[in-house]
Amino acid sequence: MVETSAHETDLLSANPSSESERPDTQQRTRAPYMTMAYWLRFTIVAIAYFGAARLGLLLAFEHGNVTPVWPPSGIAVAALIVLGMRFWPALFVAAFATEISAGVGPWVGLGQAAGNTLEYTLAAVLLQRFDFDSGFRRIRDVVTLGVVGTLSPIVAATIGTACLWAGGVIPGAAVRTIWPVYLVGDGVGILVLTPVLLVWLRRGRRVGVYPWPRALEAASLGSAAAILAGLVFLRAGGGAYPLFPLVIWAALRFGQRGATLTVLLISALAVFGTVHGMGPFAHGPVTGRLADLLVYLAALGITAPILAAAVLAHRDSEERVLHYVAELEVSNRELEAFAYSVAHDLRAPLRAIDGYSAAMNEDFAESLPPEAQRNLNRIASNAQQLGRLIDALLNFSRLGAKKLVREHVFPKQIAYQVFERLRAGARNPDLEISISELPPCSADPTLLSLVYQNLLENALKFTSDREDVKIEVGYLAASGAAGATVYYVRDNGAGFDMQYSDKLFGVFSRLHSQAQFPGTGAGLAITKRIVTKHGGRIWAEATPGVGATFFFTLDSGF
Amino acid sequence: MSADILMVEDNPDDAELALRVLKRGGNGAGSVQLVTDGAEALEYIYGTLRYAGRTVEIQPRTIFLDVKLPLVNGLEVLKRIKSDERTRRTPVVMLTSSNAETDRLRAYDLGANSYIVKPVDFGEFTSAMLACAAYWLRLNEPPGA
Repeated sequence: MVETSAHETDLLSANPSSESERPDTQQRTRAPYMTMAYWLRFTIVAIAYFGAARLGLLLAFEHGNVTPVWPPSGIAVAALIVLGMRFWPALFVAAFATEISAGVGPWVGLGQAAGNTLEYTLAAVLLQRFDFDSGFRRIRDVVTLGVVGTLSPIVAATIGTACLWAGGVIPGAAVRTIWPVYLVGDGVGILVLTPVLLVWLRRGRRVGVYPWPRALEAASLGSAAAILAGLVFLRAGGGAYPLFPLVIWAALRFGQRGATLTVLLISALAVFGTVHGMGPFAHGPVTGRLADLLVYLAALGITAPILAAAVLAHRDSEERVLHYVAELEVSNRELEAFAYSVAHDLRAPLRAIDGYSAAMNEDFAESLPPEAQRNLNRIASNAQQLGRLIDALLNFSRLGAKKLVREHVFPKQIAYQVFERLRAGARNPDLEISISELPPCSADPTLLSLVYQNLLENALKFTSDREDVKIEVGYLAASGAAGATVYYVRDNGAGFDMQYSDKLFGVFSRLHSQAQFPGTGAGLAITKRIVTKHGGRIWAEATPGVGATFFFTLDSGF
Repeated sequence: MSADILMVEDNPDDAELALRVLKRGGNGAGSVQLVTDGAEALEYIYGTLRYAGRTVEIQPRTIFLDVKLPLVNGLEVLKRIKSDERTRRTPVVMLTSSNAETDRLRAYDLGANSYIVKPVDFGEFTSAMLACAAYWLRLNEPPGA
């Protein structure tokens, strides 16, 4: 049992992340060459290449084996990317067989096969070099394939044409017409066929079964593409543009699989029709027709995957946002759990400290000297203060997670209710303050009442050593189009030095000593958090010994 | 026989201070049975295992139940009490250190009769315990009366 699990761990660690990173290539390149699986795939690739090449050669010009439609190039590049670079010999063997079957001599055939294999290998190496993702999830993947599919055929076209000329298959005068046909044939093969094969042979993403409305849509798209492409390319004359909306439909709704398959379907019908003298490109000599058609197909073959990649990129970024939101929710829940245990586990020992100090004072009051009693009281009052600080911190942190529920509220009523409640517990229950007609606004009533509670508590606290207490709750009307109503609470209390005003709203930061005015230093931090949550601003003006005014707005004024 | 109050409290300091307050409070604070975890609480209430002699027919006037408890937590104990035909009418007072909204709502959903956050300040703690005991033992009419 132990041995088995150790063995499994070894297997896992020897092959880290091979499943997630590049399931298409890396895992297989590690496998040995001399396996049944390798030769089976070797055979399949070679046969597929040979079959596609024979199909292409049906359209070959009189000069033997050069054809404007060369599907094997698409199969070859896809095979190297999906199965791995070590399958290049299969391509070489199949290419050589193709050339021989087309009737060229062995030396010319070897040269052409070498040129073609070099082209495919170069294309695959370049793609991997540029961090190509065979799922075409980004626009850059499509562009990379476009560039590579245009450049790498230069190798095969140049070597192949040279071999044909050197071997006496084509005359020197034909080199200038054969070279571009060779080039375009290989290029379109890569641009149209490689994406289809890559996105359909890609592992990891299962095809899945569409629910029926989507299956119906897919069927409509497929038949519309077949019918329209048939109408365009299997009749005389007409234009090729009506097919673009279908390709866009496929790309927007069915991703890379739908886009590439639709392009393949249209390309097949287009090539067949054009070669047989039908469709919009069926005029003039066959070389000219095919050149026009191939440019058209290349445009289609690039447009569709780019569009699909754009849609995918958008969906990916949406998924990423959702993922972050989920992560944030988890961390919020963890924070809440943390706050919970802080609340529970820190309070209990404080209660014990305070409780046993009190018990000691009660039980041994007579035998304790006054100094000991005083120290015991100190211990108790510090435990109580720590309890208040914990509560304040919890309230402050809970506020961060609380959702704002805006309502149409009347700040005057709220301020008045808060004041009535505070006055009941105040030193001077006959105290009067002035509350002016505050304009109604949109705010969270619970939180706004907490704002007034903190500001009025402060005003009462800092005027507690005055005879003629003056506290005023008022507002400044919104000025200008973008101005917001400014609410304020003014007192004629202790005030503070304006040079410390930036410390005013920090958590636990206080401008007065506990002996002067007790407190936790959380009230204004909480107030600022509430105001900021509303999109508003809070600031203060004060003169030491004369009083302080706290201003706030509840929205940005827009 | 049953005590007037069943107190379920795992923190020995909290328990001792609470018992001290109730004992000194005098004025008919009644007898208190202390158990220190949720499992023992259930054994006491249903007269099983360690409390095999007790009958479930006679229940305390009220149960002071902590939320965070070893073995079986307070909300689980509450759920058992409130979903059992024989005990669901017994008043249960949740006495806890934390005022987490989730606990509070859950406790009320399960049928808690009261939810009290134990104050840190011993003076406040004393008056809370005394007020609570006085209310449930003297003011409140028990279901079996």
